Amino acid sequence: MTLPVVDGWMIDFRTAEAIFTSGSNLRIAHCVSLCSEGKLFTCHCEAPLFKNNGALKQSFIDKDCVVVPDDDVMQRCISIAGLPLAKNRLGGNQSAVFITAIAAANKLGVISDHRSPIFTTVYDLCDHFGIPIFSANEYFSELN
Amino acid sequence: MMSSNGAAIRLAEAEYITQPELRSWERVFVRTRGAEKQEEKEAAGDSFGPPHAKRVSELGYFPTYLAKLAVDQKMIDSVDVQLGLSLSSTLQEKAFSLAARRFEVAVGK
Repeated sequence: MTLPVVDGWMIDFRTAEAIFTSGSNLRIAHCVSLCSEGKLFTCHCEAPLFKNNGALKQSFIDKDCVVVPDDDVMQRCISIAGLPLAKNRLGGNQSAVFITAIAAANKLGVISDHRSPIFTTVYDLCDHFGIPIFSANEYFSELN
Repeated sequence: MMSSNGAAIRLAEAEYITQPELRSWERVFVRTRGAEKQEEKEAAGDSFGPPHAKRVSELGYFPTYLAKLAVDQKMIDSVDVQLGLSLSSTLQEKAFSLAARRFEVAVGK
């Protein structure tokens, strides 16, 4: 399995935080580099979480790597949120819908470690729509 | 205790009991925040500070304990708790520990 050809990547807060606190300079440097190139983004609804973390703020917020949904994304969000699968999300998990919609609208891949045996996560939604989704470990192992 | 205190104040306002009776009741039954904090420190030991105890008292022991169980069983994670309960990740470990201890004592586990 190799990484698909996409125009960039979306990453959620929990995965970005885990990478930036992992102590792996290789992984951190890769993410910082992607942010500088404008190829790694986060969702606007998780921006407050990124702002509260110094390293993530520097890489994502200060480099304008936050995607704000446009009309197309919002229409996709409405469609996705109406699915029975999406209704099984944990209350408050809006980012799963937004990340899926943004990735679908902009031909992006998704990096997320978020999995749950009970609730629908961004992994389930991306998998449903055929959007490339990788955990951080999968992504970096394919990268090497 | 809060509802008992509220009921006592309403009884005084409705003149079913007098102000001196209310004050004497409060002296016996209503504990100060300082006393509760002190008890919290004693129960938790030196390593536990008040911020997590304050947050747990705001959220309630039962929701915090349920969140702990859900995290332990990997149904949700720390970020879900942070977003859903507004319990910051830095307080979660101590808050979970406190809620579990209190809840398990309360149910006699």
